[in-house]
Amino acid sequence: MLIEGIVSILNFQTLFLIIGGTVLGIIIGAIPGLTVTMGVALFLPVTFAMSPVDGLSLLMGLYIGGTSGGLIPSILLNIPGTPASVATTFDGYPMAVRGEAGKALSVAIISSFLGGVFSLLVLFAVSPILAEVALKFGPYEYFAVALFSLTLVAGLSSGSLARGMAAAGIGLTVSFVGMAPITAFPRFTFDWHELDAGITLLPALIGLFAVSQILEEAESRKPQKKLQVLSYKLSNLGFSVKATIAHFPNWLRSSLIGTGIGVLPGLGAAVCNILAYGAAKKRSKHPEKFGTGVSDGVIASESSGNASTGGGMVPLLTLGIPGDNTSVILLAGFMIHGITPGPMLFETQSLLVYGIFAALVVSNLAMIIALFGLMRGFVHILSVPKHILLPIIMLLCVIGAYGINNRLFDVGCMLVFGVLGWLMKKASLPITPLLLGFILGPIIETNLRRGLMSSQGDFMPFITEPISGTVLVATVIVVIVTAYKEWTKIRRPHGQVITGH
Amino acid sequence: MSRFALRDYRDLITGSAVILGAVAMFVASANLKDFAAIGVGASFMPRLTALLLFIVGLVIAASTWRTGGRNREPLKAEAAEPGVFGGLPAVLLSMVLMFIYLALLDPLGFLLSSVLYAFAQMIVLTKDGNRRYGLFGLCAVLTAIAAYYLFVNVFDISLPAGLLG
Repeated sequence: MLIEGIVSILNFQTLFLIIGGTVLGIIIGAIPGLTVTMGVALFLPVTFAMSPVDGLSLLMGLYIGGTSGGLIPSILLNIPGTPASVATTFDGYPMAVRGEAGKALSVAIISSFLGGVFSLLVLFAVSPILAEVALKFGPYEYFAVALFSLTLVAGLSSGSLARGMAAAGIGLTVSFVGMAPITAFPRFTFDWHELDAGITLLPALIGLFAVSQILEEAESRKPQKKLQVLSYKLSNLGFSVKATIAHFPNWLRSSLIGTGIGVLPGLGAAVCNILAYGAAKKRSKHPEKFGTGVSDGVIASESSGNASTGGGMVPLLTLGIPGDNTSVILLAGFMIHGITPGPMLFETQSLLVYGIFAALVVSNLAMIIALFGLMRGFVHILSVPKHILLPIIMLLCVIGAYGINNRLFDVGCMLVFGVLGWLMKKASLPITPLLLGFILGPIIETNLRRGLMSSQGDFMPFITEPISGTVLVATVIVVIVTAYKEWTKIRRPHGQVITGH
Repeated sequence: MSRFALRDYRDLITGSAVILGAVAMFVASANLKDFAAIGVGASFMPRLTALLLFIVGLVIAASTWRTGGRNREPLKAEAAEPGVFGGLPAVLLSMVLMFIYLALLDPLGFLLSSVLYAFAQMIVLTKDGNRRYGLFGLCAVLTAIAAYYLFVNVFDISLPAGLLG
């Protein structure tokens, strides 16, 4: 099947879309303020008229390219292009200041590539097995897993369980609009027939990420300064074979961290690059050198960041449950083409699944070639001012929102969610739990009601069934542990500043 | 209320808004008819979510008293230079521009309304007072035309034609 999947993408059009998507993703990732999620969301409408393989291949290219593109401004500007490259600034920029920008870039690019390849191998190996297990899932198990995912995301995404739960609750509320599952009773439509089918996912996504970004930029009082990009020279691969072997344990550990965290809902690349950096520093013989410009720091950050991409695809493909913002957009990409990710995907659409695997491999190859070959062009793009770039992005947002159903109502929804996203940022409410609540709400409710119908109204099977019972207990443990950690943080000795959420 | 005071009581405002939303959803759920002969009906999840939101709203609002009315994040004053247009006025103006853009999409069409919006938004987003109207106009026109041509003719997506249709 893997061979057939590879063959399905070996045509000029699909390869062009994968490579083009990767290059576009790198551009989006390289521009501070633009996120991978925004980039994938903006290009979703472009895939409407494409075949599922072509459309999803383009989105995979954007995903891989966007995650890696953040290393460019991280090293040359000390500004992370994406959350996946925050830790790259710790050592990448000091290396650049010291005149080793070329080496830092080379090390980062190769580490990103190897981390991505590692996570893809895990994806190939684990997904079919997990899909086999998930085939045995019934409504009790799906309810439990969806509830666990939502709780995990709510607890981990912002550091405040209450805020995460509030955001998740808002997401669930938005998901209730439209026809109730099973009984198809209209809920919260207020007699607006446009709301009969519920709120469309893509306009909400674009509003939350892109439109709110424009409002944030409008609010900012920081004067715009021309970005000082450090010079660099990419003359070689950055390190020798001997150094490669010496760095192998760091790369492997960081890739494992990235892949593992990518699999877990709620964390994503933003967390794994910092965790991997911390782990590398702890295990290093010279931890005092971290932060002064050492390759180890760059390797840890970039390996884990790109490794999270493959990990994040595991729950999406096998269970149909997205683990982070970008996975939500990818899920929308599947749904637009009438495909429901989940265990049955491996049975009914195995060619598509292995085509996606092949597209991810090609995209990683395109990423490393593009970053080495087109670095000069990417650096030029950093100089486009935001006050010109963001209104252009708004035009693409309108196209994206309108293009799904040809309704101005969806454009209006996009603006409303843009305002909501801005307000939530002001209130320090995280966006990810809202998104997951929106997506998982119907799954939770449908499976709850199906489970109760099959148990004649009895709630006990949700607890007594082994898998669902175990997962529900894990959910309760997550809530208790997270609440306890926050409580102990609050009760620190008087005089210590409590910061952040 | 000054900006400083608002930030101090941000938790209280957020918590109160969440509680109000929860109450509104609970009341609105009363009109949902439960057809379920077995199990739960259409109003179960909304009511459960309303309860969850009520509880977390209370927790968030209560954190105001825990921090003594002071927001947990240190108040960082942005480097506000004279002549830099930003803050709430810029946000509100941007929102107004966006909704005017929405209102003009159908009568004027995507091309014309996008040119007008992009031009106006670039002016609003310029921070240093160096508003290069010629450049903004050129960028607005070129990108609107490029986007329209690309998405309508190449990607086969329909967009409002308006006056030029």
